[in-house]
Amino acid sequence: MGMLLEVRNLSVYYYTLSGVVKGAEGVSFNVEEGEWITFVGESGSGKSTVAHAVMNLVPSPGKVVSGEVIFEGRDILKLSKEELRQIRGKEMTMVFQDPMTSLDPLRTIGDQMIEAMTVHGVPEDEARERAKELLQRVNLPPDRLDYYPHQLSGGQRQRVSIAIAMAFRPKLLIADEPTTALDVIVQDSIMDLLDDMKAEGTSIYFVTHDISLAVERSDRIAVMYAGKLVELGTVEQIVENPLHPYTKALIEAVPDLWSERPVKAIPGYPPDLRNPPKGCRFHPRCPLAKAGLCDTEEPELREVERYHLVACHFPGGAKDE
Amino acid sequence: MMVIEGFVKLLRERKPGRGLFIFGFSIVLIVILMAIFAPWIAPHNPTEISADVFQPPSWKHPMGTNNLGQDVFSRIIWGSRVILYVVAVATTLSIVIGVPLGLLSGYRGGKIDRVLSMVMDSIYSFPSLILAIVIAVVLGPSPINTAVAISFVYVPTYFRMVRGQTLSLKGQLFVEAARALGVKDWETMKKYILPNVLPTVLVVFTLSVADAILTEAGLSFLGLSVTPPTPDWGYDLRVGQPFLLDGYWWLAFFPGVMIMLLAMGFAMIGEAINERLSLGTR
Repeated sequence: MGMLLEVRNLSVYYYTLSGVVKGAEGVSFNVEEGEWITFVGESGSGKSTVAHAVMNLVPSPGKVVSGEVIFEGRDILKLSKEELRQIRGKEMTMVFQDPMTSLDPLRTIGDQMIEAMTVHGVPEDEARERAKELLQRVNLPPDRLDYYPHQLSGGQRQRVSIAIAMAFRPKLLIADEPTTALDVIVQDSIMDLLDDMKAEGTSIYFVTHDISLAVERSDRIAVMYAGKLVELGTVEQIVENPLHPYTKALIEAVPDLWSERPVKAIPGYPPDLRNPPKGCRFHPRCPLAKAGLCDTEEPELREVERYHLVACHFPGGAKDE
Repeated sequence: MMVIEGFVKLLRERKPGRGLFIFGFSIVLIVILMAIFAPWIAPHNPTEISADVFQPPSWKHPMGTNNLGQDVFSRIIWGSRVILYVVAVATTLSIVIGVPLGLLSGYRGGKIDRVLSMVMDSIYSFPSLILAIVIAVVLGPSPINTAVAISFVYVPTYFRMVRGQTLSLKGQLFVEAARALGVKDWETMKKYILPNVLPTVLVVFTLSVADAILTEAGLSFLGLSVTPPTPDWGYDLRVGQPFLLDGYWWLAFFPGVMIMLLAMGFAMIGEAINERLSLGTR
């Protein structure tokens, strides 16, 4: 499979009134054609920030301060407005977290679906026909075209968002916590739709804070903590053999109905990104942290086995202690 | 179209604001009808001078006659044309200028925003009546110049309101989603932001119309609007004012009452709409 997206050394800072928030720092990864990659992490870990940067849609006061986002050989961050506009929605598209606010309340969903196609040059009557088909594909009756967003439920609205995303069979779909606002049953049906898109060759870039949601359908998982990519590997590698203590903690924090194992919370809070901890950013909460090393030296992201990258001084646990 | 539907709704539904709306709307409607049908309603020629000066209200002259023997009632009816014309032109101008600038400023941000905001804030910081007087003096007395002077004063009101709304709408997910779909910037402004701003523009419009009427009356009171003998409420108020002490109260009283009623009518409509709109979001 070929390479679709290559992110190199991406850093995004938010210039707020109370200081510079380092939302993401030195993030590098690839997305292959037709794969499903999931980004997990706590709130504020930078997973959404990176996703927005890939679309070159970092909301102000955020700014990409360094790095490259190579999508099909072109650096997204260096494209002109018009070139970007032509790629967005057609080659790569995005589904947002909150379906309640991601559709314009004053216009019918058909209107919005059709517009998504006409802005890329599809004639209006053809777009209308396609919008009907798309609605059917996401299991909504085509007469919903004339409904306003407030007449639909949250799950139905998210289906509409996905139908819009499907309009052009994009190469990359960025789904920024698309199921967070929905209940579990609806959540599953939305995930099925994303799976369908993947089956048609779209790479799925999925962002979630729920690692259990990631395990079932992803090919690879990327774990972010405090603006840094701390571990990246295939699902098996991450689940069976988590090497970063934070990944381990995340997995242990998932409740399991069938075991006696207690749910473990991660002690402490995520750091203040205006002034992140020196050394490894996880060291104040890490059970393995070693004074003189972890609090001074920042671990590099390195490949410890094939496809499996981790940024930790003691991958897999302390060996010499 | 939506505005008309909204008006019909306000008239029909028994909800808070209905009474206010009906009262305000009737006043405004009567004045508008007066202006349209002035040639047929007015019993006398408003500019015709006669020997019957200072006649108190009677059947022949329902509001009496003034110092030149002109029929005050006819002047009131014809005078409604000037004030409505000036106010309509003035508010249209300030909306046409203020709303797009506010959209641009809020949506684009950056330098354009800073420059525009600075200019608008400096206009806003002047006392509005004094600024309008200065502009009207510079442009010279005529109804259209008065309208320009008034519109200049109200542009910042629309600008600031639209800019603020645009800023908050820009952060909404559906606007970001539109960008993620590759919708052009000006299309986003036109289709996604403008319609969401319009309800507030409507409220500001009705409230500022009331204010604009008082400003117009003030300017023509100072002789900066029409030239005699054109009938005009503000001007007639001034003409009648020196004769108050002589007991000829009807010269100043009726124009004054009309100015007050019209301003009140618009203020009531604005208040009613405001009440209904905020009811929906509460």
